[in-house]
Amino acid sequence: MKEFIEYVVKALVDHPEEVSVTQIDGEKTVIFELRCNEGDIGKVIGKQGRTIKSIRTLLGAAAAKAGVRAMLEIVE
Amino acid sequence: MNERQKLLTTVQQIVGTLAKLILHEDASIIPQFEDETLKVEVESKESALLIGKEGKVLESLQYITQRIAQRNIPEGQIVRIIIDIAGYRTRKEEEISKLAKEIAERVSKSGQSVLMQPMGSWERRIVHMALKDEAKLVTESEDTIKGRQVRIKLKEGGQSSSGNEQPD
Repeated sequence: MKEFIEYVVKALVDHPEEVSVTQIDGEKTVIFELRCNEGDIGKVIGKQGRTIKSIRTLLGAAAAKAGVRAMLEIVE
Repeated sequence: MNERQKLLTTVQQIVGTLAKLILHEDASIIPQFEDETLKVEVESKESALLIGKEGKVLESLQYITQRIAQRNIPEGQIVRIIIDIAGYRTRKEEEISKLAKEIAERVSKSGQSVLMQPMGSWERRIVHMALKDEAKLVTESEDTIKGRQVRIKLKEGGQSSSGNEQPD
């Protein structure tokens, strides 16, 4: 799941080298914290939040396959 | 390699990588151009998961693929990407146009307009396309609390269809 987030976000931003994803494992839920260049945040969120919503939906499918729940937060 | 072939390879790689990272399994990805639209056929053992409830995962996969691919093609050039998984869109298209035609017949007979269930833009387009040649009817998308819904109704100047505002 971490790899998935990194791949998508790096492919969408202007500064892929500044993308980092931290994984925090909970009992049933895995939280991913995403950090990137300030100027790239808009690209990750997208118009009306459509991009981040899509990334979260796909992450949900990956989590379902892994049998967990996953959350993705952008850290500013 | 010409531009189109390059784009096919790029899109195949993007969808293949996404599917692999989500499912941890290889999926079959076949991209091809149909006129100006790049259609991608995906087959996988985990097709249901990749389609998702009401096609939501499929829509997201298509959107993200479009966004990533757009960054790989020259400025100003736009390519429309349509992804289908295990024939889901084809089936859905047939279902929705059949339903739209059934409702259209009811509306023609009764004069009462009908508001369809909320649908995404791609599905609403199927309704509009299915009924575009109906001389007596019009289809309109409306914003409601539940989302965007298509109303099928008689054309203005046709039979009166007042008092038909139904919440559902």
